[in-house]
Amino acid sequence: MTTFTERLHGLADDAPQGGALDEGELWSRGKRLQRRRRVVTASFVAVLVLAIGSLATMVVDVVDRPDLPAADTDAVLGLPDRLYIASPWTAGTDDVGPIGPLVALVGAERRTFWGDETLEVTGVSVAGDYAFLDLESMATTIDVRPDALLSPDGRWVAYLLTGETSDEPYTLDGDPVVGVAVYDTVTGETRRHPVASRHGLDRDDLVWIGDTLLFRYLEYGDAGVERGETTSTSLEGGGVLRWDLVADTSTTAVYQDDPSYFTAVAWGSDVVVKDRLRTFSIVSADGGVTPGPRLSVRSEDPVFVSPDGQRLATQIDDDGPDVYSGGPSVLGVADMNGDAAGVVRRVPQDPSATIIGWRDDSHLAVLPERAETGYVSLDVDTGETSPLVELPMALRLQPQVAAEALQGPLFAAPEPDGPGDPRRIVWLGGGLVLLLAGAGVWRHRARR
Amino acid sequence: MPGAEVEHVAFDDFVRARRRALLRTAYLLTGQHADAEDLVQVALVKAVPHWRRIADNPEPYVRRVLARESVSRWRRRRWREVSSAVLPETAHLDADVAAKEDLRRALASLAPRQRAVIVLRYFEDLSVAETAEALGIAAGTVTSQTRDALRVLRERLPALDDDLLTAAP
Repeated sequence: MTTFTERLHGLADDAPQGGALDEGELWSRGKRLQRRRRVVTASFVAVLVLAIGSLATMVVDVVDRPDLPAADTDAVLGLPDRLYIASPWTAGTDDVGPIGPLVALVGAERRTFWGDETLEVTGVSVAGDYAFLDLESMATTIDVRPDALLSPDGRWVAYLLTGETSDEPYTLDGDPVVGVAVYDTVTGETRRHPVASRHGLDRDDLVWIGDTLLFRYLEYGDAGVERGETTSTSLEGGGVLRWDLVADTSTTAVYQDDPSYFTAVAWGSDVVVKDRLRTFSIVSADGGVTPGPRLSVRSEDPVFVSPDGQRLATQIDDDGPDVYSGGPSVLGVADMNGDAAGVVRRVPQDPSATIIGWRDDSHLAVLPERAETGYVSLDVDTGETSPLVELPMALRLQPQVAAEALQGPLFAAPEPDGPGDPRRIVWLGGGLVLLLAGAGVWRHRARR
Repeated sequence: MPGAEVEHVAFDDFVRARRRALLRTAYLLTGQHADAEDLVQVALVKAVPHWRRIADNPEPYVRRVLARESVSRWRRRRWREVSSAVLPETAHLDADVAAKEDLRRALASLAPRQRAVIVLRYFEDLSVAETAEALGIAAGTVTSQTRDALRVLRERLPALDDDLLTAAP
């Protein structure tokens, strides 16, 4: 009797003889397969390591974000040799606390996890650290002037305060303004100075005179409202608020429009303001006005007085001393000789260069119109220039450099440690899970 | 002689020595000459990357690949159960040839894993545990697959008188 096993062996006798099998060819194919597998495995491991590494780096970035140094009241302001645009994911002062006196304010795009993008202000500390300033109840207006204003010593950041008005707010120019506020960069405290109004305020001037914040404003009159939109209003009344942040006292005077602080430039604890085409004045925090010497040329631009008070710099019209055409200007420097007329001599320099301020008694920080690198230091005696502060090309807002920082020692500014996009953690984490799941399925199938 | 060359020579020796045996198993697993040769080629090619590790005793590894590949290939391309080759008329076959053809057809009617279980257990003479290891499945699955396969074979091969087919494994 034939058993089942014997029947199987009998059937197996019909198997092919294997003439098609070439040992050498099999070995070559096997080696090729081995190389392919090694490449695939190496690629997979590389991707895995990369993904895990990136994930770990970002998690560490988020979880173990290095604390910014504690705010230092006595920190000496220096001038960073480079300003950066901070990462959109840079922490805010609400998260990291105050970062101390600021050497500059720089606009930067800020993003949230859900994709919102806003243009906000970052502060740059004396160590070159960046943090978004979380300014409570800041009014955003269509004013071309900056919404946040850095004090000369970098200690305070002033801004317009928004909030409730007693009557229908006037909103055509942005958030209704109900006063001013100051963020203390050392304590993190926000001090508010509301100004009562029915429909809100219109900023006329907001300027630091030393430690005093001057806020000149007008009040909006009755606002017309049609179909839920504010349509018209008139400016009426107003005042001049002087708020001494050190003494924490304030006075409010009746509105008067002279002097104009539109061209105000800090000079020590005072400011220099332009009066007419040939005249300027030095205004102190209490409102005292000291006229400066009459200029030999006409200019509508701000006047910058050197730290020692011996010279001034401004941009002058290029059409001769008695002609003012409003055409291209050149940079001029004059000696200040008491009440004598200041004879402005031209400094050979890139036309239309913008003066940022005095570095010292013989050097100006200027921003040449054609310069692509940023501020340069201009020797007003020789006309020689040298690089000073490198600015990012994509800067969307002119940075504000604290007046004291502009005259402080230059320091090498480190690139800010911008955290990566936290959303990548989610994507990478999800991708990693899918990758591992896929690898698991592939391995399971391969083993079967 | 360099190590790689030694391995190559050993592989060639193994193929020459075991080619026929592997083809016999592959033929029972597939039922077709071309498929059997293809299956053995694939198993041997897949053994090359692991040759250094299995060189001392390559046969279990190659047979394991052979068995698993026969099952997975069916899954991937619905392994042909009936060859396109023209079969001789049964009436013209002698009794021995006819019996083989009956067995071949009976095996072809089994699911690939059942067929693999039958071939490994009753042709290769592997134990339940060895069969389970070779196919990468649980021992209980081997037992149930064997039982189901034998039930089908009993129906398909009534003339076969064998204890294996009349008793449960």
